Amino acid sequence: MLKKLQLLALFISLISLFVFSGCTVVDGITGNNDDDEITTLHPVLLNGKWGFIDNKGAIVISPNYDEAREFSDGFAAVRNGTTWGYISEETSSLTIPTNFSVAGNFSNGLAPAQMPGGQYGFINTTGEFAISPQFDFAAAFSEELAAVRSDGLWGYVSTNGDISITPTFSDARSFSEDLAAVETFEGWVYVDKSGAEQINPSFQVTDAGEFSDGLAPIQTTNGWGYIDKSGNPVITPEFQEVGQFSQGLAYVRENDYIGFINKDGELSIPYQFAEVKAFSENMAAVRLSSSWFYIERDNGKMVVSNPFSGAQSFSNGIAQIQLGEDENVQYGYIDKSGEYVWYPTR
Amino acid sequence: MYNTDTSINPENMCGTQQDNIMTMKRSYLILLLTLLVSISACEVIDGITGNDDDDSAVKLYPVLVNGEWGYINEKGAIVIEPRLQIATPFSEGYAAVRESWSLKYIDKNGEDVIDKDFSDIRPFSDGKAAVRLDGRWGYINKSGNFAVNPRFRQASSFSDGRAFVRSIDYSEYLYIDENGNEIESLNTPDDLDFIEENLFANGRALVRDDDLYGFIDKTGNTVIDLKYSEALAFSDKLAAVLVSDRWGYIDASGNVEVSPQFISAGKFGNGLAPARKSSNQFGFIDTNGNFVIPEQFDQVRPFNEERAPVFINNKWTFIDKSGNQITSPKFDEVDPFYNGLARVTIFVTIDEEIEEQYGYINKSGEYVWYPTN
Repeated sequence: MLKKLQLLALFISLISLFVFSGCTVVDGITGNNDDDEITTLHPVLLNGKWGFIDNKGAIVISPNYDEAREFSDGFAAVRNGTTWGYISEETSSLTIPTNFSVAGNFSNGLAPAQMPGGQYGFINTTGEFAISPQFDFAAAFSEELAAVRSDGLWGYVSTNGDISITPTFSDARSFSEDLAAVETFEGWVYVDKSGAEQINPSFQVTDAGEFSDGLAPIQTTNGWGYIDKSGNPVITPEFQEVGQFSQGLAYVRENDYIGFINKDGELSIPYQFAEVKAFSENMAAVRLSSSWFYIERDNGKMVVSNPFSGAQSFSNGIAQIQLGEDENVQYGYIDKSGEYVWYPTR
Repeated sequence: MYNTDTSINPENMCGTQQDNIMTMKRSYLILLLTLLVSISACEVIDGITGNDDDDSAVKLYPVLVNGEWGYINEKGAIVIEPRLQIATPFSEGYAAVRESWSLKYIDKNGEDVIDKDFSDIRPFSDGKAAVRLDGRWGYINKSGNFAVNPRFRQASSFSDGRAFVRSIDYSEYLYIDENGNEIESLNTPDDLDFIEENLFANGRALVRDDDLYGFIDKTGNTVIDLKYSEALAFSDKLAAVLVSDRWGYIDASGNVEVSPQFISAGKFGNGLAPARKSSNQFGFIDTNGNFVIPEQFDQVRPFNEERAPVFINNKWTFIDKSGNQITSPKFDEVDPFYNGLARVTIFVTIDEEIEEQYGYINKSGEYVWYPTN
């Protein structure tokens, strides 16, 4: 009963705040003068179309698109109808026309893309294929190499289009800290950029993730843990689920609840969450039961805010959050104190 | 006394509060407690009563006028206009209220001080208040920020720097310190039972395992072995314990201070405790175990602020420490004295419906606020 009443109250306050959303934005600006120098663009949904605001909450690119993703490497993929193009952050305009049925993130000046009916290749920032369409599937570049699949097997292509590591793996992750996890017939191992095997643990590894902060999550039959670059299981595999280390902490799940450990494997934020995202900019999104909130890295304490139905990681001082569910979902942005920079809209 | 589903709402206001102070039969006590389980806001009054030496206490009292709650001062003048759906007593300068659909804290001027989207809130004690968010209980400080994340299924008030909580997976009850860290039970059973009187007092908390009661200190050490079939929490440095069918009192080290001799016994307050020894009626004893107010009352509650509720001919009144009634017995319910006033309730039959009207009396028994609804 109370919940319904609160929803009603929330609804009423939403209506009233919607009217004043312009003012909310102004409020948001005043709190943010510590990172005046950084201006970045983030997607917002207004009257059913996506545009972009800066991190102060001002509209920079009018809402004209059916879908829009975050910027990476200076470009953001946008969709009109069934095809994708890219907006350049530098010019704030659509510099790569919506010609593509698939458009991945730019990295190292290249993005995996596919024309309707074609194969995967990589386009450059002028929208031309720099690496011709030839792959069944392709991931974004990372550390100058991109995982690609040909004839059902994964290998790696370099930025000049050369096949650096011949496709022989049944699965492959992105390079990170000069190593990539690949699945062989013997299980998961790590290869270097020449394709040479660098880590092959003495125990069976049933899944493996990317290195960060010198540690990589690996799964054994006993659960998830972490290995170092020598392949030693420095944090014993025993967890139901783990995340990558970020800002010195990684999430781990035990007995259905998630806490955060440090690189020594010590629990630094107690088990209490149902779902979390990795730390970025000293904040992490966490779900208690049905709602999302944020915690601070230094003390693990939750920032008091409205409950959100969804929450993304912080980037450039703001984070995208959601209110409402399904077709009624609204997207907004908050700053680190939980104040709206962009009041949720749809 | 707490539960997961308490909320501050008008039905649960403190007018029906009974204190779990008389020991009587345990089953009766448990029945009473069961009835009380939904009265979270009231629990806090118990916590507050220890603070009557606090000169800075906000001396405002909730009153119901034409269906809306406001606050009066100790002279009976309206200070915060009636506009609230729920109003609870002030503690540590803040009061938990509901206005429109919003649960929030106000200060003595009626201004909002913490107005967040909590689904339930409790009064402040030890600088912290239990609040519920997304189905989980945690504790905020007076700036409205979390001191302890909402990660418990149940949470009681802080007292003596400790709070009793139930873990997120329902598996255990435990005490936490002010940072939310578990107080390890050192030489106590691994799993504490749920216990109704879970506040620390005089540095001790009552604990139970396998139906035997004992006491732990603030570090989790068992300082009084779990050997009593019944016991009450400490107050005035004494705790009532049941030994061989008779109640007596022990000190914080477990030494017997009043030998077991009573059929019933309650908590000490202002140097006196309710007890009965030889009859079906209650009197009050001093810390030597001597009756200073003879056994004569059908029901009683402990002294607080030099006054104790007594039940005579189906009505309540209060007595002073000499045993004098400050009014004739005329109230259907009473709350303990709090900052000089006590809330009294009378049942008025209007169109065959019983309406509860709330008033306040001072220590002389005079109405400061005549009962209203």
